Amino acid sequence: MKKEERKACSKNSKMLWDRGCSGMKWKEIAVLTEGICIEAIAGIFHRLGSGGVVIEDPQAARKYENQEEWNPNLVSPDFLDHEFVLIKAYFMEEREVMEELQSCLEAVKENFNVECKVFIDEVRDEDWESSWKKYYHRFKIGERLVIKPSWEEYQPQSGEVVIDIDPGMAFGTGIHASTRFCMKFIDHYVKGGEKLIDAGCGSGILSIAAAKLGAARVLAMDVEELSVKIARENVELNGLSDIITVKLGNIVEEIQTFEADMVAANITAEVVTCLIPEAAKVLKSGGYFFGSGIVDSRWPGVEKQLKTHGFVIEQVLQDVDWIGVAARKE
Amino acid sequence: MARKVLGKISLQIAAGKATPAPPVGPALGQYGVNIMGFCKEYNARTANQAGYIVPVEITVFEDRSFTFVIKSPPASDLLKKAANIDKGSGEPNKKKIGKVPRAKLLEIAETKKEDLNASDIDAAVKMIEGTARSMGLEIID
Repeated sequence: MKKEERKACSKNSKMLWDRGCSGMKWKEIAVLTEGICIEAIAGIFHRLGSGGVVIEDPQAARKYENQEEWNPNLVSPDFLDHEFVLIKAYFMEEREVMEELQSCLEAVKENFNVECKVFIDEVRDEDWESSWKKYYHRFKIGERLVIKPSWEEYQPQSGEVVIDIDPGMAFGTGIHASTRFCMKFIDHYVKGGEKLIDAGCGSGILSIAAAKLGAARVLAMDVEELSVKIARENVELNGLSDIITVKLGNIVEEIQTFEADMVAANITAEVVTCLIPEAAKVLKSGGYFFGSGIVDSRWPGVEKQLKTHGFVIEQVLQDVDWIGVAARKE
Repeated sequence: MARKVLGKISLQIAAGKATPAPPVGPALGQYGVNIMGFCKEYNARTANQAGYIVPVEITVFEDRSFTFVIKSPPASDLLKKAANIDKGSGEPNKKKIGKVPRAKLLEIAETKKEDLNASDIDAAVKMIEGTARSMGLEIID
């Protein structure tokens, strides 16, 4: 194996993976090959049940290298200077796939006349879970809400409401348009004393915003255990455990057992569409439904569903192709 | 002013099912991209293609924001459909599991030529042909 090949191959390992961590371990299998074999090798990994592949193709990257906006400083010259391609897939540590992989790579060699090299490395969840944190900083949404990562210090200005958040691997940093829409609705409509349901709570950011703005009771629910755990931690971080209850479960199935003046659902158009008829039964006249996570192509379906179930649309927010809606029960 | 591009990431993952687990986590994490933000966007846009692998090319900008474009389905998926099989062979050299007409290879190469690392249509056909053989498919004229 050539030195530069090895260097390019282990670039990520050296930069990111070689830290002592204790989470779930994955076997990273990287196949060093040529451009013509990309589809064949990706297909082999799919067949082995990898759940996806990453393709590092210098030719594709080079297309951008000479463009003015490209920043080559952050890509290894070892990578850009060579013709080889790396295809990576990840398997749970205990899964044994090498024998079958080798047999399939024999066929690749025969059919393309290309000898592929295989590299195996070990990676852990923690190695990538926190890498984005250094780019996540305090910001403001609407008139009053300030979202602050739990690891930053901030002295609030008069009238500001600060939300401490560590979203971890749950959705809800507040940056995404769909979360921002719901935050703006909560900022606008919560006056104090309301009961709110946060359907698909993720990091808990919407529940915390509602409680900090005066909601009397908040029920936060998510189908993902990790989200529930992270939401609970964030609720505690903000000292709101007596107002917000975080629960694991399917809100569409369970919403009937709760009372609410407002329902916020920042999920997907599909789930929002299913939730509307159920929310309509729970909300009294004058109650609010905030729907978000809606891609514009699915908006007509959501709009129709709202009107069919007795909602009057009060606000529609759009950012590129994301839509958020605030609707009042008639 | 155009945002500076930091990198390009190509992924082939299951429609509507992106999670922070590998390969998404490590691929995006190395660029400092908000992984859950990508998962949410990808899943919302591919929910109607559930059951298929939907490749994406992600562009990461210097401020760690990103955009992505959906690419054509993987060649192996198109070939499975063309040969009417569920899975490629585990021993493609020894065990053949189906046949695919040459005309189909050309059709698939045409569908995918923009997304393939191929200089012309002949190179694209070669790539698809080799992929078919490496799945244990025989090519028939």
